[in-house]
Amino acid sequence: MQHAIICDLNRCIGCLACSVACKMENNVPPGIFYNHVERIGPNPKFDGAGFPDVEMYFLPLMCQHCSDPECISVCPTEASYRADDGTVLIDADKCDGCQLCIDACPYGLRYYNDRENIVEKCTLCNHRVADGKEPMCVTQCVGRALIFGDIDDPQSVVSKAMVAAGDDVYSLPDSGNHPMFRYILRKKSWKGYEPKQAG
Amino acid sequence: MECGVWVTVKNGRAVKIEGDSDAFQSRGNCCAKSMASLQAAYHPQRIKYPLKRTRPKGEDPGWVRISWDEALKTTAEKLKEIQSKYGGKGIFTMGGTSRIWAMGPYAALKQLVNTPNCIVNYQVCKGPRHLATKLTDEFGSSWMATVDNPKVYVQWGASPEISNYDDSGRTTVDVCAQATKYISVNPRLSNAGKEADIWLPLRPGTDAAMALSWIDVIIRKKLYDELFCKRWTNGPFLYCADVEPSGGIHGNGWGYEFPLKTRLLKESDVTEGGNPDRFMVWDRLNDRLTYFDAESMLWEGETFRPPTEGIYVEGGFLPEPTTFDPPIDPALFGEFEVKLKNGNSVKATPVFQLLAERAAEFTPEKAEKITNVPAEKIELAAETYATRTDPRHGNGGIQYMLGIEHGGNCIQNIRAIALLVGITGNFDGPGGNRGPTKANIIPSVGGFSLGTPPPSIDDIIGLDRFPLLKWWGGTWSDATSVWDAIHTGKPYPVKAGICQASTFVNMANSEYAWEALKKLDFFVSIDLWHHPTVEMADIVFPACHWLEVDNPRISQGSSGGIGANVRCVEPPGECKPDYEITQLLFKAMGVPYGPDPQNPWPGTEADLDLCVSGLGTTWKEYKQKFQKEGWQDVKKLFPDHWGTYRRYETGVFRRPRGEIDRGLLDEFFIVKPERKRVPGFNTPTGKQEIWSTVLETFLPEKNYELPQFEEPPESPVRTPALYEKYPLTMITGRRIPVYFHTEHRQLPLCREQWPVPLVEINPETASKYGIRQGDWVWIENDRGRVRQQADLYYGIAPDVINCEHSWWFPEVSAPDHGWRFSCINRLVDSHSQDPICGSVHLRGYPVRIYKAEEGPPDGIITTKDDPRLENWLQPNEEKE
Repeated sequence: MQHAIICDLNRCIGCLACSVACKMENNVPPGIFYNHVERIGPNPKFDGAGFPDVEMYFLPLMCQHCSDPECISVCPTEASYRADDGTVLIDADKCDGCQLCIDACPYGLRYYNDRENIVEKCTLCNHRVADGKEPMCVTQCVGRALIFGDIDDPQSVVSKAMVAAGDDVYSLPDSGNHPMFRYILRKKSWKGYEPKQAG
Repeated sequence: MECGVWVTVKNGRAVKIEGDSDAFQSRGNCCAKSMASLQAAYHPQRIKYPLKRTRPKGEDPGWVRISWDEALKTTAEKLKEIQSKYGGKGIFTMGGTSRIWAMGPYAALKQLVNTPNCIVNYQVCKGPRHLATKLTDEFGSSWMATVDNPKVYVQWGASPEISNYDDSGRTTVDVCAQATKYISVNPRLSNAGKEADIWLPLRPGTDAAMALSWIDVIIRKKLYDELFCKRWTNGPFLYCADVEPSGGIHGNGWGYEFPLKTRLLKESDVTEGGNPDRFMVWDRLNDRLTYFDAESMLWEGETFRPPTEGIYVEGGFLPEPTTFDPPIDPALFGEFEVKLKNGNSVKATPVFQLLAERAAEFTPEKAEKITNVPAEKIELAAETYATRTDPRHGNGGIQYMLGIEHGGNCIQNIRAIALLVGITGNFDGPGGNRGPTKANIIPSVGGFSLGTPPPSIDDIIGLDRFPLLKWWGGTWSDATSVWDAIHTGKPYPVKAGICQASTFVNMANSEYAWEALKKLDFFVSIDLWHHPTVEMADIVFPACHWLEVDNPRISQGSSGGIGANVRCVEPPGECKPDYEITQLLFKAMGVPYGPDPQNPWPGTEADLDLCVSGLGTTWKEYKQKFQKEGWQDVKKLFPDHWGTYRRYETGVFRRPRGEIDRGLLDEFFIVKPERKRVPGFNTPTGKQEIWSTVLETFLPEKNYELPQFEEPPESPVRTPALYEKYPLTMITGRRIPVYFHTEHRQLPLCREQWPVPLVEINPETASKYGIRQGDWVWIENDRGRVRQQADLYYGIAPDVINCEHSWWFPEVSAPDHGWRFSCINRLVDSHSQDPICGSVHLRGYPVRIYKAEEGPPDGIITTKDDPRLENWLQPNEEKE
């Protein structure tokens, strides 16, 4: 079993509802985001193109719940772990705030909460999932771009969406960590993702 | 649309706001603004008690808490003092947008002090669309039934996916994805527009040229709905240059009557003793003149037979179009010789022919030169919109929004697009422009008084410059003219104001408006926040947050739902709902509010009861039903009205002659099932008016009758010399996902997402000026300069920049709260206005830009981790 979120980028309109919903649901302090949305572009559609021959998409970013993530292997206190449903979680009681995992995440999607001296990140709303609900960002996604399910189950909505999208399915760059989230992007060129420097 | 949401309350405190998945009209949508508004309810900066100022205007007001009694008494005394010196008209009201229970300034508060004068945002937001559609076909037909899933979806100057009110973002994205084609007409790449099949990135302010070009394509390629054009527009009516303008007595439907003065040929022009309400057309079938009678609303020899055959589409009944019986074929094209009653033979031309000729001035090739959009793209878009994917009805409406209202020539922009909808058969069709959902409940509780008559509008300010305001029922006085009156005392002194949920930064030049506020003898503000507008008040009343208010809701627009706003939590301090404050002001002034003279101030429960009484229920029952069953579908509640399309056929729109509606109140909300059915529209000719007889009557010899394109007041074509100094066209007003106009700047959930105002600049332009991503930039014209942060954006033309509007900085001290730093309306010319409705030209000003070496304005929050954001989460302490 592997729970994951698939994002249909053609339906994402950069409204930021996912980010705000997550913060409201998980009571995340100001300045910290378990998920955020980046605008990719607008970029020229081809070499030498300019306005209006440009294309753009928005990219919601949260922990990709990798199957073999370095954030777990570097954790000296075993606070970071993979749950049975494939979700990567942090046991707050074990975390001593050393932040090694923040450096280990290739996407910069873990955050240090200096108020509590712990590292935090997307939990895939495991408290909601345990109740049979979807993660809050999925429920509140204005464009219904985010969908949630078990990618190991071929009958799940996420598996079906990926099959339907054919070759238009992408993931963030994989350096052996095997990100489990997928992005669907049709009729546009996928630009990958390079996290901005911290700051 | 009114997104249905659920609020979770624990121990008396609201803890979560989320989408109501059963709310069909909003499809479970709940935007960032809605969720974040939770933080507004418990914000430490909320105004919680009545306040009075202790220092002069222009300084920190030194607010002091006072009792409700003192606040009401002082306000009543001061307003009466002004009334006795200057008359009620020496007071103006000032109203905003969207908080539907805070609409006092639109009617009730004017009634309270007996003034016709107001500054209401409606003049630049939806009001022009409503005025222009009332001129053209039906009040508010600008609203489109996006919820009906139109086959071809056109957004024009619109971005409802992150906008507000008219459609939920979720509905919008669904429709963008499901429509066979999605067309975006927008100078910049919008958030949903990135997915458009056809994007027409037109030069700002050239919308009417674009719309006329579509009309040209549609007429040339015969893509118009011929039967609709002949039977339901005044296209076949004959224009005759050789007759004196004349006509019968017509009304605006709201009690104002006027003699029509039109050169459309009438029976009275061709026959001695002929009827001026009979409009002549040329019948090609019998090669003779025949007429349409705008009193009986029937063609010569016709009997009204409402259609009974039809099909069901999107939960509504779509009647089969009726045909001419007895058969005639009104000519849309040609030129005909007619004999006038004085014996002269003259030429007469069908209006549709004139429209074709007007549109032919804007062939795609010619329009390309005006709009900068390639001709083949224009042609493709027009063809795609007008070619039916289903032979039984049109592809849907056009969702035209604020962009076209703020670009100078606004009424003509709207008329041109409304006619595009009409001639393609999409007016009140499935997914078409259907107008307001009416369901016999009134959601603007406190917006009007049934105990005191409306004030006379004979000397409403602005009438001299905008003669149409009388026909428009004094819905607004011209905002610029009111600011003028405060500054100059002309046409008479205006000395006091009552503001409810509004600000001075929306119309006219903000410096001009701010200075005017300073000059007032007395100013009252009803609000939640210490916005700079409020800091100019003498007395402040604390208003409730939406979580603290009971109020019925009706879908604003065409999404067809009714529901309720349910008070979930108790207000902090001594806050009261806006409508309660309005009623308390009536009592303090001794002016009757309610309809019963024995009980003139019946309280808020009675007010709420009254507003739902049209459904034969009480507020308590209505609210209970809503909490149990959720939103109701108005198509099912009123199957013969909202549940039926093409209502001009079934006779639901047209007021029988002699019947009067109560202005906006009835236009927005009220169904009249008992009314006699009369086919057609509420225009003088009873048709969708391609030729506007009202504009012809009130603004004669101006050539406004047909839609026309004019260059914006300041443009590279009209004012090329200005562009030598200010080479870039600045547009503004796009929707920001986490803000609604001035709102939410103090909410951590919003501000951390979007800390500062951004100016979008094409990277090529930025490089030319040495501006990099994140640099602070001065935006300047002769009227002033403001700072915003550069956002390099290839989605905007190199000679255009896009600024954000309505910024202020709650973290900066009173009274300015930093409004001058970034407020883009400091660059606006107050007197640059639409010549018909007076709306101020807000988008499309020539400016220059340069890097602000000094960086951001002092003292503002610029980052997501500014500690002041956390302070705004501190408990709501009792202070003041």
